Amino acid sequence: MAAQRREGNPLVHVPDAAVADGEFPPAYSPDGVDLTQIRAMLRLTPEQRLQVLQDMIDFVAEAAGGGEPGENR
Amino acid sequence: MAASRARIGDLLRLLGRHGVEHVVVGGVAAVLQGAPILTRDLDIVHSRSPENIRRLLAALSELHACYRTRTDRRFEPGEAELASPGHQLLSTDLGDLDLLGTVGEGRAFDDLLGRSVRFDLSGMTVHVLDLAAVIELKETLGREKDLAVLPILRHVLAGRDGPPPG
Repeated sequence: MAAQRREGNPLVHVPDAAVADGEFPPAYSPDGVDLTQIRAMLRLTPEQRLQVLQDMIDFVAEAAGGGEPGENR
Repeated sequence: MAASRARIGDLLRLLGRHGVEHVVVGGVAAVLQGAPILTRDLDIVHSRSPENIRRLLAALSELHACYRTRTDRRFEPGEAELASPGHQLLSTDLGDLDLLGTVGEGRAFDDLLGRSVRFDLSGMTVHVLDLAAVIELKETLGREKDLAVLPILRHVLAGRDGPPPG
């Protein structure tokens, strides 16, 4: 399986055709860091990165506060 | 005092509006330079000049800043605390704000400014500790929470300064 050969992680799916085309750089580093997240952040401006952080903070705060009664948690 | 949700950008803008000289360190410094990590407080090393401490106190007053405690009693930092090399861990209307007189092995604002990079955020200039220096600092501190993010920060640094991390 092409994905397994490239990633060393059998759970990461990469289409064989894309592997052949070299379109998918590794998703994980050998020490287990998700490189896709780093690539995505490095493509952003500092202001956009700050917004990503704010979105995460907001999400965590809302999740920690729970939903309204009757909502799934 | 109930904890306020962090609004990091607004906190930076307020400090800028008061002309507070500081260098952003810690998790927010790492995020601004591309680290996909979560942090919910703003850590800054401030200039401990008397003028800057006055500006900082004005900003803290607007933020209703007080020490983070387990009780409802309010303790506010004063000039003496802000002039010290110690750390003031505060709760504010815009989230938690850690004011660090020094970091690592006694490094103060003037020591860090030369290792900072400037970012323009909505027309406001913010000094941010360079990612390599953030990594060195976390290595020096050696706390579990710092060590946990070091692999991510090192890959960000490699990706930023070289070809995309592969």
